[in-house]
Amino acid sequence: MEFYEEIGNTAAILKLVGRLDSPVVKDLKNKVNDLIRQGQVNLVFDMADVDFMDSSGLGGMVAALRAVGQAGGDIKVARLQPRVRTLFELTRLHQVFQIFQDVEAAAQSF
Amino acid sequence: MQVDGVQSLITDAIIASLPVGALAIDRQGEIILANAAASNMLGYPVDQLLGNGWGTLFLEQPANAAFNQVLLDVIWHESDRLQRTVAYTRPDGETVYLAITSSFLRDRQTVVGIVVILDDITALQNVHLKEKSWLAEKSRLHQERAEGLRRLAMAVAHQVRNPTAAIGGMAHRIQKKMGQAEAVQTYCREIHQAVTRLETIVKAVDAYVALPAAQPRWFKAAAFFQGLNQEAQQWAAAHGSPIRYRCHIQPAAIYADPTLLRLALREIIYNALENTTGPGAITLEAADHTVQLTIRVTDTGKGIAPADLPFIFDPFFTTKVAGVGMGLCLAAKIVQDLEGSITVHSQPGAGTMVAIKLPHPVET
Repeated sequence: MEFYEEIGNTAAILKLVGRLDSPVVKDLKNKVNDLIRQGQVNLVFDMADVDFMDSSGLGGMVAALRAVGQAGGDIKVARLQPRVRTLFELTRLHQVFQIFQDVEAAAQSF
Repeated sequence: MQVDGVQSLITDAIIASLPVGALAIDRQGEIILANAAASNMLGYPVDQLLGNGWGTLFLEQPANAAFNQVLLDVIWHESDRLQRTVAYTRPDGETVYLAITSSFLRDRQTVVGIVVILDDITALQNVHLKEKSWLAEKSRLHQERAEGLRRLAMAVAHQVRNPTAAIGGMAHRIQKKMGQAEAVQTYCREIHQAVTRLETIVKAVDAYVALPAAQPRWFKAAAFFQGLNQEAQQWAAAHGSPIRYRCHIQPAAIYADPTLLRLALREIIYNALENTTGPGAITLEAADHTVQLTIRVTDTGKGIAPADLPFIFDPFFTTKVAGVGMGLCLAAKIVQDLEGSITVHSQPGAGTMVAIKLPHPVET
């Protein structure tokens, strides 16, 4: 999985590319912790290019949300692929993460 | 009360009293049904399960990745009755083993939700684990014993080979030097016979310690047993034994090391032939029981005395004047190397049955 970050006015955009599964969960956590250390606690995950997630990947996102929450921030999710969106819905994570159709709307929501 | 209401009441009562756990998740991910058994297995009160989602209840616990993956696989593949056994660590820290059956429910184009049935198989799993650990320990001890025996046999064969050759050679030279003196000729002949026997023992021990590592593969059963059949017929003809030889082979193909299996069966069959004099019969049967292959060699010979039975797989154990006593020992080692078992049932005067059981995969 690859990560591309862009610091915006209202939030840091983290674009995730590839499979979000157990081998890369630690990388995601490290990335989020780095952003928190830089003072970036409002994050948008751009997930347009995430084509697979397993239980560790979803668990890693919940853990990341908890970490930024403790720092006073939040994670918004944008551009989910249909099958990934179904995962969010049937695990009820769409009630935990705010989901947006596009990255700009997600960033503006903070 | 309306009929629908009565039916609903009955359904609820059945689900509540089921010994297996039942969960239903709607299209919004909300757990809308959870019975008492599911609550006990998962370690959450029913009212904490109801109204919540899988994500907030279970997903953040890394130890339960396999448990969570069952649900995610059902969603990702829209599976029907996906079955999997996984470990699950409850909030109180206790780990249980759950057999899970889960289905993705779709009505035409609309997602309806997911049903999850849970069965706590912890007790059964613990018995299996204990049994597995006991078998592994038994196998380890056996391997250690076999390795010790192999090293000892190798050393003895090495130490005996050279002096035996020297004794034989010297006896031959003495015989030539001493002319035709009758007593000397007799002594030398006896030395020769003893040396020949020692050499046979060394060869048998060499064959035992030089067994190659098993290389299992699929091979055709009919041709394999046909070859053994021919060898047995030739042996019987050479020894003038009027023995009937029958063969009942059920599997078309066998997964094993054919060279090693042939060696083992040859020893067992020769043993049966030697023990069967007169108009006897030897029957060779092979049957595949899905995960186990059973091969039986049955003879109608003189049988084995109960006092001898515990020792027949020991090295150098023989009741024959000319035998070395390594044949059945070799067969037992091969079967062990093939991760199988060998047993003998015998009735003196009626015959003997040797059964080999080998693990056998399903042919794909």
